[in-house]
Amino acid sequence: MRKALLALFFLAAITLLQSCFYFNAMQRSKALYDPYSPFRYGFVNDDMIEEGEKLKKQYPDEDFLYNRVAVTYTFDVDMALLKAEAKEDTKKNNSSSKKKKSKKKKKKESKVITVTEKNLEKVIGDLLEDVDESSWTKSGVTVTEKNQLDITALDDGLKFNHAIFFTGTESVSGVTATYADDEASKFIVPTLTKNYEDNGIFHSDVKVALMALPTYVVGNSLQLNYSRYYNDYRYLTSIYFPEDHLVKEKVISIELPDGLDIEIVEMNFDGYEITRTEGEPPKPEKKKSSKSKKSKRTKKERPSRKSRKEKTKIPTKKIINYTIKETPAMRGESNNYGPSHTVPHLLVMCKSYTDGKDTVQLMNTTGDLYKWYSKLANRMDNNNEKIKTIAQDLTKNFTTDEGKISAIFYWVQDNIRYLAFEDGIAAFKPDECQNVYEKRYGDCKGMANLTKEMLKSIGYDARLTWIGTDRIAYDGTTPTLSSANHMICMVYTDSVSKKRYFLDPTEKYVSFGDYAQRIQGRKVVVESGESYIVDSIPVYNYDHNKTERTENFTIEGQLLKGTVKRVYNGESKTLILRSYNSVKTDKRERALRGFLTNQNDYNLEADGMQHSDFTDRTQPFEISYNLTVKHHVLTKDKKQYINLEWDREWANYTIDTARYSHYTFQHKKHQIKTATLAIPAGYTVSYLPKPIEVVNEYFIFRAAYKQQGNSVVYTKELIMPKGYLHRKQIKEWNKAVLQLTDFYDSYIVLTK
Amino acid sequence: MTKRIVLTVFILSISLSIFGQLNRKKWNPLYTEKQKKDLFKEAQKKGDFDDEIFEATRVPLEWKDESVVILAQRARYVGYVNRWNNVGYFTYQVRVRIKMQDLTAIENFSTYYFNKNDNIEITIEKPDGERKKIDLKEAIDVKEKVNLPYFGDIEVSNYQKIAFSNLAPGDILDVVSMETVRFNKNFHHWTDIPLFFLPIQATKNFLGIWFNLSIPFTVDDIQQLNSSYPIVEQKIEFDLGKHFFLNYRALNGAPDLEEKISKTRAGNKLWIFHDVMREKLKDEPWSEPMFTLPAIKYEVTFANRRSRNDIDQLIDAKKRIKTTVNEKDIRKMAYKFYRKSRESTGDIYYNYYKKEGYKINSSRDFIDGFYNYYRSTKLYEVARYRNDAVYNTAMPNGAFVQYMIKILNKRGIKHTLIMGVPRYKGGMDGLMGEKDLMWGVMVYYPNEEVLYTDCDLYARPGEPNPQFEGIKLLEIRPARYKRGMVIDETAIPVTAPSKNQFIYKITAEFLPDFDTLLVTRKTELQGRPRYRFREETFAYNSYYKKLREELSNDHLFVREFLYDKKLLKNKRFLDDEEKRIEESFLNRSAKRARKSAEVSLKYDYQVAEYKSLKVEKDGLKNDEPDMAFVEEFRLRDLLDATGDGNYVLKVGEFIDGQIEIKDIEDRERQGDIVHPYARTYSYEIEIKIPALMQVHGIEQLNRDVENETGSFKSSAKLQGSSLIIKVEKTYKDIYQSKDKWEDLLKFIDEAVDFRSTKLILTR
Repeated sequence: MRKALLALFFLAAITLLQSCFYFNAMQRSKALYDPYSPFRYGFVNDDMIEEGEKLKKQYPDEDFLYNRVAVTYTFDVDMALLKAEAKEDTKKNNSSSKKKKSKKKKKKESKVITVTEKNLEKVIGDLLEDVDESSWTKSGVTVTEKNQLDITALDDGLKFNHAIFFTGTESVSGVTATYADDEASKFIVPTLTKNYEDNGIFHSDVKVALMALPTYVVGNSLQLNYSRYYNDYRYLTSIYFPEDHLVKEKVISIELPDGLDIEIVEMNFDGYEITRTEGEPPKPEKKKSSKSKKSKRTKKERPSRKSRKEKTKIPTKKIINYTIKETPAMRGESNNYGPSHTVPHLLVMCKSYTDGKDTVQLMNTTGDLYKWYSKLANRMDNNNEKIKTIAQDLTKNFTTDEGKISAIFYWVQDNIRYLAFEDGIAAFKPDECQNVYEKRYGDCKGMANLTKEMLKSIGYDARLTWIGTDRIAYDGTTPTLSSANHMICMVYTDSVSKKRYFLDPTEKYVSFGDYAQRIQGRKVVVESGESYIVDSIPVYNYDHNKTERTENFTIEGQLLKGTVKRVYNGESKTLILRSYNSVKTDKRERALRGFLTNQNDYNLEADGMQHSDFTDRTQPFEISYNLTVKHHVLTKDKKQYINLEWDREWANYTIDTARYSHYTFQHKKHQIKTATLAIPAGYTVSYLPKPIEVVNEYFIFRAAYKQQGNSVVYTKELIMPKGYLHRKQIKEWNKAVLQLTDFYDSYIVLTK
Repeated sequence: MTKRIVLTVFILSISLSIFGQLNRKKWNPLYTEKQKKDLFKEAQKKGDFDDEIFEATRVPLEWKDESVVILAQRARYVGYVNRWNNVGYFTYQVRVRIKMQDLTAIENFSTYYFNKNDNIEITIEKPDGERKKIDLKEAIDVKEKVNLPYFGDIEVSNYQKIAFSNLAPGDILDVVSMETVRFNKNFHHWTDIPLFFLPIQATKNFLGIWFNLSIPFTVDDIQQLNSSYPIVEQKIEFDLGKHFFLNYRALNGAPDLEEKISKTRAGNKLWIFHDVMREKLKDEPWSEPMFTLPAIKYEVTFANRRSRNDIDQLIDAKKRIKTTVNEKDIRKMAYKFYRKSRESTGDIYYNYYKKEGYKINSSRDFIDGFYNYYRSTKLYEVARYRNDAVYNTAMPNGAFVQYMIKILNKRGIKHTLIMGVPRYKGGMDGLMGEKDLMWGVMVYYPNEEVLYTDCDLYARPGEPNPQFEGIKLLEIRPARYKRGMVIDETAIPVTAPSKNQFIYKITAEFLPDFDTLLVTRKTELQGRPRYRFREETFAYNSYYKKLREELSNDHLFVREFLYDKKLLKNKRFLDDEEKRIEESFLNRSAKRARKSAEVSLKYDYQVAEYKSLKVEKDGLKNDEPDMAFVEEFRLRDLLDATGDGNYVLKVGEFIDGQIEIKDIEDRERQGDIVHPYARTYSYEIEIKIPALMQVHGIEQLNRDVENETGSFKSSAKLQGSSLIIKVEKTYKDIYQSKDKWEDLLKFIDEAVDFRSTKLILTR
């Protein structure tokens, strides 16, 4: 009996112990994987709130603050693969790896994954890994980017919204977070992954993983970690310093393996506190957090497969660290000239790799860049039989080269819709000419290729041309994939004098021989068989885009009545034609009325419109009409006050000085207005406003009133000679536009 | 022998029944995707999508300059029940032919988004008659997924997109689509509330048919016949058998249905809607197309005998078509509404009663007090649940009125039920069932009648929702039985514009630089306009203080479970924390409110400096229902030096937010005018004229235009060194017929002209 009791007691004790153990394990396991574990932790303490309140006072305009951001880039080299790439015989490998990968992808389709402590690392690794591997292959040099973000909430009850963008050449994994730096609260971050659809791109392989993490009280800190893997070194082109919220400190570390020659270009460092060091990256200052001390997860854990693998890596040669402090948030800015011009960043270029015996050239010169371009272009299987007939038909009535080329150029502009598919290799490889012709749509590469093939089919020497638009700060010959974002066509009309034209059919309504601001002056890489040609797009002066407005007015009672003639040239003409033709036919007349009366200004009445053809891009565009203006003539006794300004371009148009980027005007501008006012009989001019002249490298404002016989002539000239405004000149601009506004508000005084 | 035969029949019947049951177990009432595809092909072969209206290829001359013209469109509903196996079948077929006439149309229709299992066929027809079918297999698969810790990847959205090749102006896009449903006799009823034809206007819209049995519809069940594009000919065919019921309303002159003989199946009835040459819908201000333009509204319901009496939908069991609502239907809906009011729980009432209700004798005071208590409690609950601001929250109208009725019954206070259909659902003529109704309760106190309709932060007893005003309503006197209810037609007059007022009191003085003006603007809002400015005022209101009192809850902000256990024991800490979070919340709201006010001011003025925003009255107290706030700012660009020592003051620009209707197209009206509510804008402007300066041209500020639709009146005078300007603009009514548009434009034009008025200041 006693034995039985003892056994029973023993059994009960074991069961109790077991259940305790089980309960503990359950609790731990839940804490690990449940995103809402902080609810149970009671992690808010008075230190946290006190610290948060301090930071809130320090940064009153911010919601969140990045206390510290650490990004580490580790390069991995596979010499065998590199050599194979160099020999260009990787086709077999690629196709076999494709098959393997596609099989792997099928396996991944299972919807439910049971997470246990053992498979946690793997699950984290697998999440978000959604690379379209159909067209991308692993390169001999791959890069792993590890991100560690330490965020502090600067108010109560906020949500930290974050987005991770990645393309088909990258994969993102291990998105985890902790609250209050407490390892015990580590959880996998729930994300929504979707295709990112940019304006103008119908389909691309860019994906965005969205997350929203609640922060409960002021001072609530949150640590977010994730890794990004580049399966080809070419796609790690630049590393930017600013983030979407203010950063107190950001450390970018680049671990270079022995033998890998990398060039790091420091872009736009002026005005920022950025330091470069070599060696181990600087460690963060230890926090006072009491919770982190309490963490129970201190036992020695078996190193994960990944970390074991790291040990077998090629020993690193050196670590380069860049540290930036107090960096303002980078947010969406209107009329952005392109971040690479002004935002501090690193341009990374892998030059070569040597393992001691052999050296493999990576992206060292423009030639290497061209090799890569032409490799993709050579994959095309153009068949220009069909398009030859149409090209011949289009050009049959023209005798000059210019006439024939422009006929084809305009046909592509008018008949091929711009529609971009940037999925996988399609983002870099042009579509075959016969496909674009059949589909009647394509992206810049497809349209350039079709133009080239049409011209070739009738005997012209036309070539594909790679170009970076003015959004990009780098030279088009810089051996990096980020130096080009566009493709056009170049055609020779004379093989001896090498007279050539550049054709960009994506620019609707641009006339032959004219070039959009975004490509003017840009260096281009032109195909030339095995070798390449470096050329530049011609640059036009601002005068090329001149808009002239000639007005003649008389005073009738309290009204100004007269005629207006406007003439548009260059890009201003292109813009008018494009805007008009993009409006629905039934809305065009209305749109034109609105355009001529400054979007239906109540005081302006336009009628008797006569204009040139809205589809003729070869001639300047002209429009003339009658205009009646109300409320611009004031009468007091024997005096008349007349204001001849109702267009008021840039009036009060001040720009935020805190922006990161230059302000683009889209194209160089030259606006001229000459208005003549007939002085009514019996009146003399008693006052004319003082002329204004503001001359700056980026803008020129000139306006004046003069008496010429029985008339007062108002002239105005506004010039944006560069087509953009440098961010350092914004203060000057703001001053100047207020000065200009004051001038607009001035009056001619006539006395009887 | 007989025995043998009987035995054989018996065995056979048993085995057949077993076999049948075995079979029935396997039988799945829902079609598989493959079966649906086969049916779609079969329907195409049979010519189900053919109709003479689809032969049109030319656009009528008057629409030759339109970007897009819909040549023909037809929706066809076919439903019947197989009497042998009691299986129901329902099919919805749509075909649209769209003529694209310019490049903008090509841009808009060149890409197409759809769901993978949609049964759709798209053909492009060239002007020479060549037809090319789009191969939808070439479409791109787009997936969106959520990665969750416990579940891994979960697909949340999967759709396809395709870009059409070789499109050119003059091409016709011919879209055919079908959805089929099969269900067995156990299925009691369902209702299809369709969107009238396809949402084909935008590039990224799904062209799929909005039809799904398992997901309730949330789209409006009413569509004006004028769409964004002109339509040459359109038809809807309802080919319905037994147990299928049609509810149809033709509003504002829309065509009625025509009954014809169905060729589909014996016992089916065929009703056809047919419409030709319908102009496109104009984008007009103060427009309610469902109420003013031809519109139709319909729903198709399946209901077997057992379920007919229980369903919410109104049906005519004999005729199978219903085009009007009769008194019996009203009685049924009202009775049901009453019955539901008895089911509501009374917790809030008891809490209120215990707290203060027992002290109150007057029935009006009791009910109003209860109304406030109910509102605070419910809105706080809902807002907290939604994690939204209280001013964005409102109680559902039906639930609120039901609760009020319960309390009124409990207290024995006389009341009637007010029933109506909002204008955006077509008004009372558009009543098809319960889902269309809006409710109110008219309470008869000893000396007054008070209407309660809404329950949100700014609603007041006796201030009905403007949707109730000026339209046909029904008043129902309650009774214990359906037949005892008395139903009368009634109407609630439109609230006078003077009760919905925007009052601006502006004081402006010249600053020594003679470049900017220092302006103090007090905005007072009475009645409905308070809703427009709720964010500005909420930041400063006493809502939480009141709420604390009403709910007897000290901690409305602190979420205790977040805090360290030691801290939770310290009540003082939690009290301080509550204060801190509330203060932080209010500061943040104040900041946001100030920002919003500044942005809205900058929309109309050149603001040199926005100095302050102070709320004087939050409009939340019953005894102080108006809202008022004062802003101080500096404006530039209102004063121009003329060069001869004088100045021009753009005095008219003190009036902000004036709508301008200038384009000739806008000056012609398509539909009648429906304002949100009748209202008055009053401005009292005092401009302090600097010493030794004189003002000229004041007479321009005296305006007086008044007609049936509204008025614009202004006057100005010099009072000492101040120029006093008074402006009053009134929109007199909610509803005005379109022939009054000219009158309306007269006073609007006057107001716009006033805005351009300039005065000369001389020394």
